[in-house]
Amino acid sequence: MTEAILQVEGLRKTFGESVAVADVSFSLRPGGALAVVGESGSGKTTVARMIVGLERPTSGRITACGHDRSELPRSARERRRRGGEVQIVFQDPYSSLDPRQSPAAAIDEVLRLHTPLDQAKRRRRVAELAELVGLDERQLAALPARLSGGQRQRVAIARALAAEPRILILDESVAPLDVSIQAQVLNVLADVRERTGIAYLFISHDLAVVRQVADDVVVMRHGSIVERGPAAQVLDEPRHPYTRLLRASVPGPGWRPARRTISKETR
Amino acid sequence: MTGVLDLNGLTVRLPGPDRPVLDDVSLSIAEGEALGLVGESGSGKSMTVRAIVRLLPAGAQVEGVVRVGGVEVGSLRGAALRELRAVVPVVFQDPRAHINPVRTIGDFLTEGLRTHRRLSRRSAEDRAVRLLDEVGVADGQRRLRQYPHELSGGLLQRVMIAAALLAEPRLLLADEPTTALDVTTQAEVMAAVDELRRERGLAMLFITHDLELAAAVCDRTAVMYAGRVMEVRASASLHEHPLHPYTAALAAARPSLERRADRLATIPGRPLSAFEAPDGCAFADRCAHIRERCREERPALRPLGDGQVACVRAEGLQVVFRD
Amino acid sequence: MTTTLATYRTPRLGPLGTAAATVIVAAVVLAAIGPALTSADPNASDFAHAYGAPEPGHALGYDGQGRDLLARLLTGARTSLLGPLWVVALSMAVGTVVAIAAAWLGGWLDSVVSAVLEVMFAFPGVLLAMLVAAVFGPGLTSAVLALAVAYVPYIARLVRSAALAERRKPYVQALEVQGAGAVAICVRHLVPNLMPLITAQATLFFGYAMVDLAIVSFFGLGVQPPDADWGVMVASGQSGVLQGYPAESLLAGGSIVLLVVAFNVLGERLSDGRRAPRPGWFPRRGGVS
Repeated sequence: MTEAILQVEGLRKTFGESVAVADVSFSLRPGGALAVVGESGSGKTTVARMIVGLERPTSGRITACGHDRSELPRSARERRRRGGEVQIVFQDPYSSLDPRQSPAAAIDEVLRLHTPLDQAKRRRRVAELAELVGLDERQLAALPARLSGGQRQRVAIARALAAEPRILILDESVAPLDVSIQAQVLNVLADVRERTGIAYLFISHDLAVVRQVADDVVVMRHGSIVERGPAAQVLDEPRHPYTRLLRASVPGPGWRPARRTISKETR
Repeated sequence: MTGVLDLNGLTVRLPGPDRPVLDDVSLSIAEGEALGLVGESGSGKSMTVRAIVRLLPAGAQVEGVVRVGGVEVGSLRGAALRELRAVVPVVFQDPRAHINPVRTIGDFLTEGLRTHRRLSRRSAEDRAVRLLDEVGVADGQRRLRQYPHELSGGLLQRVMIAAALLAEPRLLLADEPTTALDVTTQAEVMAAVDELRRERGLAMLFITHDLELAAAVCDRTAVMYAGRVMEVRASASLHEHPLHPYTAALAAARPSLERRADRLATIPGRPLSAFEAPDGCAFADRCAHIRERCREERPALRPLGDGQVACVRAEGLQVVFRD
Repeated sequence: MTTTLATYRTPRLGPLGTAAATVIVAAVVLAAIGPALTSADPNASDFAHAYGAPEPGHALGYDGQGRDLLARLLTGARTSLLGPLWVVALSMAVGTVVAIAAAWLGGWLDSVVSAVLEVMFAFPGVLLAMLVAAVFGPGLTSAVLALAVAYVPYIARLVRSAALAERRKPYVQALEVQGAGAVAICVRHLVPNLMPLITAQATLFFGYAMVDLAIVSFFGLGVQPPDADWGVMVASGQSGVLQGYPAESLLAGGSIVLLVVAFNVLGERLSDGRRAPRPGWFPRRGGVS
């Protein structure tokens, strides 16, 4: 087994009294694709935010590309290095981009931060990245307000890739997209992984999308992992009752909403 | 034929663009039938619901006929319009936007019963508790005293469904009622809706972007694109054997839970809104099976097999999609 | 899938807003080129013409000391506009920097800043300006500084909450994840996106500052006679009002009212509903907004 490129050990996060993430451990191999599956409140997004440093873990260890990132970066240089290791694409394409900045400028800003390229080379690199995610010249120069959700999400992906990260976290990044656009973006992600050998961490509630993109799956509920394994195995032969319930809740051919469950929620 | 709902040539124009946002939409729903209305952004599916209950933006111009239970809706004003909205309730995607946050669930559910039906507080509350029980909310007495913020999204959506059933409607309009919910909650809520519908013989127009969800809970499914109806037929056959290239492409683009595809079949370009649609077939620019005439004439929705389809090549493509 | 398209719109001024903008532009142009419009010296007294009626070359007549009213009104426009400009520029700059630093760094700094702002709310601008004038001697500079200090908490409070909201947006967080520096993110992204809000507040506060400075000058603690200033003119015209010559007070007061209304209308149009409360003349009770 090759060394993991991302390793999370005993990760825990509490907000006051409530425990968002309780003792979560998993690892991602270089070039791999791991999906963290769960519903709202499962803590999956908090895990992603801790990995990229937007939340600080209450306890536990995060190692990416051999560097510990459980603590705040100590220098500007370390902060940039971390940016070049792990990147993230958020869920909401509408607020993911600075409304005053064109996609070309946004990508260029990242290139200036992470590469020593001169202006002409950066321009070429912007064009390459745009081509990789399927954006044309006109879209590159337009302000975000003139782009559709799918186009904005591609910009966000291109901007994240500009730092040439080894790991890309996709936090429900295709969930808000129309089906036909979602398919385009999923194919783009597959192409990028094939061409660059990047590793993906998908945060998702959508089991069909997970099936399409992930090699391995961990299922989270109430802050803990309840099941893990290869995607095909977890989805075809779920062992934990919660995974079975998730699986059975997805509408598909022949699916009938089972029966009227009396909600036992206490709230 | 008079159904619970009949739309005939419904066309809606908004101020601004010269093209309509709903273009010649004809649909009907029989007693107790559930019709799914599936489409992507800009397809006009939500606008259709708004046109039915006349909740359109100011300045909207409506052509065509909307009949609810045989009564034409277009001429209704004032009290008659309010009555229409009471008997054709709409359940929206975001329940929190449609409930007063400072009043209790009990106030919300019993207000209408007490002011319009003149029921006593006691009997109105009994009725509300019974309805809550029917939509799968146990402990109704306690729920009535709670405020919206104390309830989860799934519970609140059930409250909205209970509220929709208060006036004993024959038709329910549901606009992406479970899109904001978790999958397990969606399954529970849809199960409640499904059972209620069958017990009460309630007809439903169910708006969703999820072809498979529509196939699972609706008798028939209509697929909309750019403000037009592309195909309507029995849900099972629409899902298994689509006749319109758009329906086929939409089904193929969605990843499958059963197996991983090498590559997802994509539709080039992006979904168009009705006002951007080209002359001729609205889907022409993104269609893999396009012919010259697709750009020239606009295909009418015509009967074929067990439904209707708006594609000139449907017969020939039938074979292609089966493979 | 129903997604509402978040549109990036510039506020529409409407006819009233356009009129207000026109008034402001006209006032600025007149203040800039004003003295060239009349050959009269604003400070030259000619007691023979005291309270003199308008005549050729002296379109608005004379004040009680026989000075040309038009010349004084035009020269006064300069101090009356420059004073508030300084107040607004200083209070906006300080308020914005403090607010963004507090919002970005959070923690104890944010707590300290919030507490200090809370205390500063207790000092009404006009009283503070008069106090400063009493201690350091009257003059435009001390009035401007005092008012700027008094306005800071109002600006800072509003900008801080807007900056907090902006900071939580994914585009800012994406830049943080990229490893971009806090100053770079704030200067290149946060501030430009807060500019519409800041500009609108600046416009509103310009109007407030104009009134407050005029009050201070009216009481003789701001601009010092014989320098022309609208607040000073309202005061010095008082004796004329009693003698039946209200022209000086009316012209200066009317100019103030017209411009204050114009700034208020324009600021209102630009502000999109988000605005800081008017700095009070008395200590505020409890918190604001």
